[in-house]
Amino acid sequence: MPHFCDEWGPDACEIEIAPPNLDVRGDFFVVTGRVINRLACTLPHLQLRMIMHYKDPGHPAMRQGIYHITDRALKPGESCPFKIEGEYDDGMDHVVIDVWPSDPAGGLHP
Amino acid sequence: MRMTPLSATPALSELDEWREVLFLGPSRLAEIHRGDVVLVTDENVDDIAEVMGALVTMVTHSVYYHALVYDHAWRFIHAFATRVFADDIQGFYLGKTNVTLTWLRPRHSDPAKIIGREETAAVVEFARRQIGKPYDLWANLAFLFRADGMSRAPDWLHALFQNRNWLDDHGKWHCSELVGAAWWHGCGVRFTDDMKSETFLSPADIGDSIYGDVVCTLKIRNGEYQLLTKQRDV
Repeated sequence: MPHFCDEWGPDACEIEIAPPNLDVRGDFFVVTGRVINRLACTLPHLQLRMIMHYKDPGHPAMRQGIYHITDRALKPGESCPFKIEGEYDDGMDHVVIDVWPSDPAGGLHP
Repeated sequence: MRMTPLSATPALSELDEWREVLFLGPSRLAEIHRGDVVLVTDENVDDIAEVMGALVTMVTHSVYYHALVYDHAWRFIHAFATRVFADDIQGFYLGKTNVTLTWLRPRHSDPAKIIGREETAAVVEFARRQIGKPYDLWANLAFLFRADGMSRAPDWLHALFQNRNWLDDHGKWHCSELVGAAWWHGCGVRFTDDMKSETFLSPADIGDSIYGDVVCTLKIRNGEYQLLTKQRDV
C-alpha cells in the first residue's frame, strides 16, 4: 500500500512549464508541462493552480484558475504531463503554476 | 481577442462524410470531424439538468458540465437526463441563451498513431449502439466521492459509488462515461492514464486530458454567436 500524503502545499511538486510558457494559437492559449512529485509520500490526486499574469494595464494583474490534472495517485518522484487550454485575452502575458494545496478538512475546495 | 460579433448563424459545409467546416460569417471557420468530443458549458441554472450540471462543475472544478460525441451534419449522441439518444445541435443548442460548445479532438498517446476515418466511425458506431439505454445518475453522484472531491469520506461510501467497472458495463451511461467508453472501445484512445480505474470519468477529465486538443469554441448568447478558432481569420 502506498503511503498517502495527509496534507500538501503549493510546492508539493516541481513544475516544468514548456516554452514558450503561454503558447497563443488563434483565439486560444495552450500551456503544457510536467509535474514531478517531490514529496516522500504519494499524492492521491493532483490539481494545479494556474495564475495568469497580464501585461496590459487595462486588465487585472492576474487571474487564477484551478485545473484537474489527474485522478490517479502520483508516487514520490513520479511525474505526469499536463496541458491547459483556454480562451486567449489580449494582454495575457505569462502563467505561473503551482499545486492546489490539500484541504485540511478533506472536503471540497471552495 | 479577435471577437466576431456577427448576427450570422453558424453553418456547416461538408468536405466529405468525415469532415465539415463550421462557419460563422465569411471569415471565421473551423474544421470539425466525425467523432469529435463536444464539451458543454451552460451558465444558466433553469432546470433540473442544469442544476445537476452546476453540481458537476462545482465538484470537478471545471467549466464543463456535459460531454457528447459529435457525429455529422449537426447530429450528435449523448447521455442526458434519462437515457442515451441522438439529437442535433441546431435544435438542441443553438436556441439556448447562454451555452458554450467546445469541440475537442482526441488523439492517441503515441503521436505517431494517427486517428483515421475507420476509427472515428467505430467511435460513433459504439455510441449509436448505446442509444436508448438509461442514464446513470448514480455516476454523477460518484463525482462527489472521487479523490479530488470529498476524499476523506468513509471507505464504504467511496466503495458504494466507485466499485463499478464503467468501461465494460454497458447497461447505463452518463455523459462523459459514454464519451470515454466510445473512444476507448472504438479506437483505444484514453483520456486518463488509467482508463480501467473504477473512478468515473468526468467532463473535466476529458477537457483537461493531454490526449485531446481544442479545435474551436462556439458561444451561443440569446441568438447571437461567436466562433473562436485556432486559425487566423480567412
